[in-house]
Amino acid sequence: MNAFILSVRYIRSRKLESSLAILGIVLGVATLAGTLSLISSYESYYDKFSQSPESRQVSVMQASRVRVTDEAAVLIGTTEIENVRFTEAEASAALEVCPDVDSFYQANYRDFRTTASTASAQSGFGGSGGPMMGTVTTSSSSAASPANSSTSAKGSESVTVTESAGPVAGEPPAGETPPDGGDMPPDGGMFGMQTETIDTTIEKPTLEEISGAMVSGGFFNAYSLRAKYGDILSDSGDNSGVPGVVLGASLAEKLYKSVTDPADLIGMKLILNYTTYNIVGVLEYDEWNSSGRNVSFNEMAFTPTSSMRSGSQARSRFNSILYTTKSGGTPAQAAIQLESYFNSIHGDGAVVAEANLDTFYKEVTKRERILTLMAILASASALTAAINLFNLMTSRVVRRRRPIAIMRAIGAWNMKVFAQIMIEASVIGLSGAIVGIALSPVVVGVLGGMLENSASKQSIPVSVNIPILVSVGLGALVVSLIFAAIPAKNGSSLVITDALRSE
Amino acid sequence: MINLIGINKYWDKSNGKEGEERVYGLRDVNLEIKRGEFITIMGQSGSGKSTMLQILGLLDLPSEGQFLLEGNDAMLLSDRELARIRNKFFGFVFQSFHLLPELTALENVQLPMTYAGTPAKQRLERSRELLEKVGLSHRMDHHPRAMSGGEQQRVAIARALANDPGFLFADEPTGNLPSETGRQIMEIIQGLNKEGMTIIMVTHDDNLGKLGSRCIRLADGRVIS
Repeated sequence: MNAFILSVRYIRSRKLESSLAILGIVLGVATLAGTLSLISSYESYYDKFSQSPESRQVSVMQASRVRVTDEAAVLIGTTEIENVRFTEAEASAALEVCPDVDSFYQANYRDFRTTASTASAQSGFGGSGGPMMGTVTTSSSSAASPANSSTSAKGSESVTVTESAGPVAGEPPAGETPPDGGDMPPDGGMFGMQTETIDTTIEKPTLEEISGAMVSGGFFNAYSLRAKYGDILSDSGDNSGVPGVVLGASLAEKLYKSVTDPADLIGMKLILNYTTYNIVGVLEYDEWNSSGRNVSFNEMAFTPTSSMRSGSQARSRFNSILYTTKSGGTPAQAAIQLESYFNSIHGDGAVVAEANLDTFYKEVTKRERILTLMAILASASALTAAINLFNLMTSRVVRRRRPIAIMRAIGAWNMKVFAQIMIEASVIGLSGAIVGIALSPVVVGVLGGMLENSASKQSIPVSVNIPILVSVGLGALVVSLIFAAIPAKNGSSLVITDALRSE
Repeated sequence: MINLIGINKYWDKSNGKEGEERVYGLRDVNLEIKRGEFITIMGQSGSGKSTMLQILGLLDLPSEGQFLLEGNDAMLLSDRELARIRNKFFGFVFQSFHLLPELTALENVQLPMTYAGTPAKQRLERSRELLEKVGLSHRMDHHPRAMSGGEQQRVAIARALANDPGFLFADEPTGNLPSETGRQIMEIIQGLNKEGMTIIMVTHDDNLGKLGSRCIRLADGRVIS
């Protein structure tokens, strides 16, 4: 009968109170380990993010503001919202006056549907692409003007795309306005009313919806994205009439069941939001995995902006512009320079420039504040559990005065009794710590998910930090032993005859 | 051999402003106990019988005087050394049996050997042997609460014999038992004395007092005969 087995017997003899003590430790350890693990996870991800190309990007956009006139506030029409649009010339000039800025580009993130529908009219897109701006019809006729139609063949597949610049319907996608602020450029399925002829013999991709972005050529340089097969999109565009699309490495691997080698994708046709694209390139795997984005670049498809496709970049006006911070420059400084420059053009406070790194930092800080509060509460919970253990062990020692006296009478010296009580406390503490550690990944998942859902912009993957879990578990064990030491000392130093007489 | 020389045991009891009141358990006790003796200690309730037994068994230390165990002053020993003497050389049987309720009979008997560092296999064999000796081979795996008083007392005797001690201290060992069961317990104790074990037994029963080779009578903490 060793001390451990005797301790287990004592614990089992008081199952309910032992279970409650263990439960208290479990809750404290699980919550504390989970929150600390999440904080560590966010910090390490921030470190990774700060090294990624994403962190060097700066967004310039219109400030959300209401300009108040001098009229009485109650009168309707006393306020007006001024829309700011950026031109290519302004964007280029910023490079001259902002020393920390390297280049600019466009990137409008959206979802694409790959369904080769034959519907004659659609009312909207899936995802964030905004309302459907035009109509899509399919027919076997080819009554298109030569400039806007193309025919290509790959094996038995043939595609005929006919675009007609019809009347404008609705707004252009966010981030880009047509030249002169009103007329829409011809844009397959994105902007203007259109009529397409789609050959439904085009192989249907395995995915019905994919994430992507309409980007200008500078986007690829900004994120150090290189083509593994084919080419990336270029600002100079191409005159083939069929817009090109570049696929992320992972997307390319799973887009078609029949195509196992991504190299074979080059030249194939892909319908995205009812527009037919020519696959011109497949990217190398993005090692940064698009830090801070909900979807990795590896999973995305990249199409040219409408202005690139229409060749009207110089006349285009944009809702927002993205800049890359020069090597050696700081994103925060670049943002200040850009904001100052554009406000000098559009008026004070009209434009804001946000560095991705700052935005990400704010997001991480916000989450860490919540988690720190939770960690404090979890620590309080763990302390309560420790006090509960102290009370439990004290009451057990009081209840066991006679058994302890008997043990001492038959040969247990005071340190042996002390160790016996400490082992009992450590079994309870260790049980709670182990179960708490085992449950902490659940806490990480639940808390991480809740924070993720509350976040509007950034996605931060969470992970379980094993060293932290082990440290919290060991800490719980040490605290258990510290709080059990006083009752154990009292138990070990009791006077045998008093304890025997007390019965 | 145990020698008590000029032993006093007292407790200082706080008595408000007037200082402390001293309560005596034993007064000027001189006693020599030789190996193999069967000593009974008798007296009225409160005469100091149990206190005497506790001092003799090193469960408590005297306030004054000398306690010589085989010529060595026990008052100078550390807690661990006292525990080792109680474990190796002394065995205890109490009126209320004092078994650990969470342990089986077999485990209760093993406990002193655990503290003595006896290997597990040896502990088990010795425990079985002792329980068989007191007639409890069929109750080894039972917990105390599932046993009668007599059975519990026999387990307590088996536990007291675990480390083959030279002295057995018994504090009214039959006090909580029916007469027939008490008689059986006394037969076991007498048998142990015949085997050479020194027995020091506290009792208030004159009949049991006569079983010993020497009877020490106490009154108000003093040895009167």
